[in-house]
Amino acid sequence: MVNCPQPMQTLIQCLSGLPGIGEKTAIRLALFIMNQPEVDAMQLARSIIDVREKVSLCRKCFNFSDSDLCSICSNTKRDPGVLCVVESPGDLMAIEKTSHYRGRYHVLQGVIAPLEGIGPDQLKIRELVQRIDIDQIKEVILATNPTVNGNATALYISQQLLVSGVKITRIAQGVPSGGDIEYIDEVTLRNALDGRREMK
Amino acid sequence: MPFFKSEAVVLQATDYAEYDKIVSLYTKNYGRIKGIARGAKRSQKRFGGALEPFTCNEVDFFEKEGHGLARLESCRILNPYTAISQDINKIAYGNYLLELVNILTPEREKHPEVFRLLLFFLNLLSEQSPREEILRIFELRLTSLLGYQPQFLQCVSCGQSFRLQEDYRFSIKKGGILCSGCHKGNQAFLSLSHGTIKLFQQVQQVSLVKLNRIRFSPASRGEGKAILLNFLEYHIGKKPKSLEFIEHLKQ
Repeated sequence: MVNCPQPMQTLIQCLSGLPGIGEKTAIRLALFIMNQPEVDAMQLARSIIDVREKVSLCRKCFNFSDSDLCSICSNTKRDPGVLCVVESPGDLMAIEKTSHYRGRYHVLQGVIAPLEGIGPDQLKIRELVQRIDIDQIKEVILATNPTVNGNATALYISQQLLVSGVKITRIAQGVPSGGDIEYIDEVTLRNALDGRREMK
Repeated sequence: MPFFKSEAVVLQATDYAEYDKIVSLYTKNYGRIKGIARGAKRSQKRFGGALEPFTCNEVDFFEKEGHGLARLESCRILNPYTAISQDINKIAYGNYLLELVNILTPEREKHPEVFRLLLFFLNLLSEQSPREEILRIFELRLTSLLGYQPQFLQCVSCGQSFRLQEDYRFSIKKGGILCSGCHKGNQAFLSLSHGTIKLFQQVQQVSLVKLNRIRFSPASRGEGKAILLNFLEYHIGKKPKSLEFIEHLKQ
C-alpha cells in the first residue's frame, strides 16, 4: 500500500474493490477526488449514501426503485398486458435504451444456474407466476440471455406458465446489426436461420 | 511459452472481472484444465458461444510459467449440443454429468477414456429423450474409470463371489456388496436386490455402444439411486449442486 494518510488509504482500498479497478487506477481516482472542489466530492459521497439508503426493489417488478412502485410500473402509458422478463436491472436498462418496448417488466434477479446451486426458488419466478393472474397479463416476453442457463430459465418459466394460457414468446437470436456473417459463430448462425422471417 | 491444442468439452464457465471468463474444460489430450478466456464477455467475435457448457471445441491454449490458469487463445466449435440446451430436463441431467467430471477428475491428468465417455453420454442425451437411469450408468462407468469402482462381483469383506442364494447389502464405506455372513442383517447397510446387482455388473462390463440398450426396472432405479448417490457423496464429501435442480424438476 502506498505511503499516504490513513483516510486516503481507506479510500484507495474501497475503490480498488470496485469491478475493473486495480490499485493504480484506485490511486488515480483518489487523487482526482482530493483535487476536486469540496462540493463535488461531497456530492459523490452523498449520492453513494443515497443510493444505498433510498433505493430498494419495486414491489411488483423487482427493478430498482426509490418508491414502492418503480417509474415503469406506475406509468399508466405503458402497456400493462405485456411483460418482459429479464435477468437483471442491467438488462432492463439495456432494453429501455432502445425506446422501442412499451410494456412492463419483471426482473428475476438472477438466472437458474444448477452448477452454482442456484435454483428457481432463489429467483423471482413464483412472484412472476402470481403476477400473470393478478395483472391480467396477455403476453410474456422471455428476454433472458441466450446462454445455457438463460435458456434453462426461459424453459422453466414457460413450463410454469403453461397452465395460465398466457402467450409466451422468446426474444429472437441471431446476427447482430452491422455484423459480418463470415465471422459469426455457427450456433448463432443456426439460430438466425431457424428464426428467419418472411419479407413482406 | 508452450502452446497446446486439443478437443475439449466445456464443463463450466464463470464470469471473471469485467470482461473475462474462467473456464473449466475436459480436454482429450491433457485431462481437466482450468483456463482464463480474456475478453470473452466483451468480444463475441473471439469466442462466441464456444464457452457455453456442453460445447465441444477444438481449443488452443498456452501456459505461462508460474500461472495456475491456462490462457485460452481460440476455440473452434465441433459440436454445440444445441439439442441439450433446448430441453429443461436434458439441461438438468447434462449439468450433473459435467459437474461429476469437474469434481471427480484430477486437474491435468490425461484420461482419453473419460473424454470418450463424456462425449458418448452427451450424444446420448442430445439424441434421446432424457432418462434418469442414464445418470446411474454414467456414475458407474465414471467411477470405474477413475478408480472408485464400487464392487458388485464379490463380497468386499470376505471376498466370496456373488451367488444367487445369498442376501446382499451395500456398504458405502467399503464400496461394495456384503454377503449375509458379513452384513449380519445390519440395517445401516443399504439393501439391494439380485436384479440390481446383476444389472450393475452388466453396466460395468459391457462396451460403451451396448450401454444404450440397458433398461432399469423401477426397483433397480430406486436402489441404484440410493446406493450410488450416497456412495458418491461419501467420496466427494458433499452433494453435487446440480442434483437439487433435478429434484426440483421432478416435483
